[in-house]
Amino acid sequence: MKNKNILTWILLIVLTLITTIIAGMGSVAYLILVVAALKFLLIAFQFMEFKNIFYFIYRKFMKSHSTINVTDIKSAWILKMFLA
Amino acid sequence: MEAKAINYKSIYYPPGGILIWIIIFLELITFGMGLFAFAFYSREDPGLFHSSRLALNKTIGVINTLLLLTSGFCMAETIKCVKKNNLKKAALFLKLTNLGGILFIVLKATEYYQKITAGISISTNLFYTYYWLLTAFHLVHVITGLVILAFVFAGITKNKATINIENMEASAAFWHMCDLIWLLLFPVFYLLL
Repeated sequence: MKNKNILTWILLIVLTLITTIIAGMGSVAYLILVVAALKFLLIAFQFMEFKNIFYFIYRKFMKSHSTINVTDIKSAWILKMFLA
Repeated sequence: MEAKAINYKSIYYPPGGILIWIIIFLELITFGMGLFAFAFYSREDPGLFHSSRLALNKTIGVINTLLLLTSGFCMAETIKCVKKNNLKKAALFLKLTNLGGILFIVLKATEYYQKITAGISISTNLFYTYYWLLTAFHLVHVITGLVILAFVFAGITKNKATINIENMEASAAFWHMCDLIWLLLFPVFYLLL
């Protein structure tokens, strides 16, 4: 489906209806809370476009790690050359 | 409309600007603390909380959730249309967003009316203290969101649209925050029997 917003909306509606139906059945409190958390994340990531920031942080983190590693390797190599 | 190039990938320029996201996090922490206190006291007197919870109108709660989710979807579509410079369609989605919010308020007012006529107030018991405080505080946010959206609507329906995309995204983020808060309140008050 091209429009992810529609897909997210349908999923949110379905999850809401399912949790409402199962609410009276036995001990499903944790399941209801997990579904609520899932709905929370769906709205934050899809509707609020939080995914943009999340991916940015992820890339930035990975990039900074690789930079540190390269710098460390270079520093170690220079140090080795100097000591030799 | 002012077409501004925004770097959406920057942590300092999230959709709507960093300030609105700070507000959102603070609001979520505030409501989270309220819900945490509610959960703590519900363990001390589970019988009272259970019987009080049964007295709530679950149907109204579900319809309100569906209304807010639909309203949130319409808001997300509004932003999408504005980015594509399709202001006519954006105005239509924004109207639907407002309609969802207004219907939410009407239903919430109906629920409050039922409670008041049944003699249930903020001082009835601890469950209802939290119920009134948290849901009313959320309702204030919904009303504030609707006022903001009314200004946004006025901005994009003018002959020469005056609103920029960043302001629109900040308004949308505030509206979605109302969704997020309700998604936490709804299961805790209505579903966890």
